[in-house]
Amino acid sequence: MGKKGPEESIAQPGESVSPSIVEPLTHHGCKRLPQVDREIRDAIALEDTALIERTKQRDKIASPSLSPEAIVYFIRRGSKNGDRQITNLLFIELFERCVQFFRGQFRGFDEETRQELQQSVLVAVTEDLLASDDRGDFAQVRFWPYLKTQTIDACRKAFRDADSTESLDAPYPGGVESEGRRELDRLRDKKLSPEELAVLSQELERLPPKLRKVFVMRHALGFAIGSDDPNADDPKDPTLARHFNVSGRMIRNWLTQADDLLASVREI
Amino acid sequence: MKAKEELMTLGDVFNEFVAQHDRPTREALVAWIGRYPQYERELIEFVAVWAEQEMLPPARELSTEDEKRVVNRAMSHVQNVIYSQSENRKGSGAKATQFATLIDEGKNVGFSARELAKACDLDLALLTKLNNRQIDPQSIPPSVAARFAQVLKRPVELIAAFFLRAPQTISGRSFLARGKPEATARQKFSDAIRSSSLAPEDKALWLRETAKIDGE
Repeated sequence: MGKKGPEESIAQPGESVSPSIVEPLTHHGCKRLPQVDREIRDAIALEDTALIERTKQRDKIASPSLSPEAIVYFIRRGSKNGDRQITNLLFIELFERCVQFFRGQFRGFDEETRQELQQSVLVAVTEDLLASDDRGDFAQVRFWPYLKTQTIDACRKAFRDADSTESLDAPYPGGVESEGRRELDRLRDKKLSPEELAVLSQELERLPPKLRKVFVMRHALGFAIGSDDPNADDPKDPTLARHFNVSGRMIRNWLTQADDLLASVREI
Repeated sequence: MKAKEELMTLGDVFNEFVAQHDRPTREALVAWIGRYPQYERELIEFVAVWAEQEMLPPARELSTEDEKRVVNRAMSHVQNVIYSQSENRKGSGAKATQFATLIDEGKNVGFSARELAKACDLDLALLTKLNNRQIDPQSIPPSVAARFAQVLKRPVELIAAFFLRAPQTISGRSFLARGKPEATARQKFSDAIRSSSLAPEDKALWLRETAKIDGE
């Protein structure tokens, strides 16, 4: 441990190092934030033990610490230099921060699936950071949005897989008349306010994924239902009918199913 | 040159979208679909899932042990990737330096000896001499190595290094020899061209190149 790359051996801790020493990012104009660049230059000549110590430092005011973007830089440097030990230690540090970020995420999945999804995100992060090309550069620009993207995308793929086995096309028997149903009927054709959506939050979890998606797209994002011939809808204005490639009538049927299920949940 | 929008991968577009918007909205989605119509379906799905994740109640946290397990499993994936990368590096390093003969390498990319000679603007006799390193490497124009490199899809340095190796002994005739077989003296490339079966205009082209090397 402790060996530096040849281009960095002249720098001393705390010394200002020429910015050209920090390898620039090449992916689609990715550029590190000045703060990250500073952190890297300040830590570039540290011995490995000091570098690890700095990554563990959580109190940013008391002493210098390393952002995840800077950790990613040093992971890539370690990997490039074939320094397994430092690469591993830095990965552990990064992953420990990632699992903290994951707390409360992957909503709507059971515990086992949540673990699997966390796992799959960390695998994707590993592949990006150790890639021989520059695909992981964005992680050195904005790590948390990068991780959030990975998290949402993992959910998207998991829901997509669930969608492929879930059919909503069976004839729907029709809803039961109830107080909860009447309340939802009043809300059916408009975008719900954040407060109204917050009230529905717990119930939404009980909806089958596809129904939930239609409900959210309609009421949280305000998608129009669309016409009975989805191809007739304006391509510049995405509608639910066009997106799901079904008639507007079918979308209304799905929304009715969702309303009924939500109403019945409320009455339990 | 391709526009930035065309070069952006789906992952790039998602990253930028999340970085630029605190929360998912239909207005932002429509704007981004306008910029990246090729990803319309994926963008809609992504934004829908994001909105859904914002709406649903927070998931119950994993236990500390489960979180540790997630990190440990991810670390074992890190080990696998690092290991396979180092193996690949070793493998590709070995592959890059391994080079049997021009004719064998030609076979690897689907050329017979005659086809390889033709592809490099040589005749079979010239190819055989080069293959057996019977040509003085100092007399070979750089364009010869470049042609082989292009046809054989190998680095030009590797071809040049091949020419520098010791001449191959003519083992097929060694049973007639009284002593240990020795390589014959190396011929100049220009001489080999002159004695080849190439068309006069092809010979002239080569000799123009060798003239610079031979100082003629």
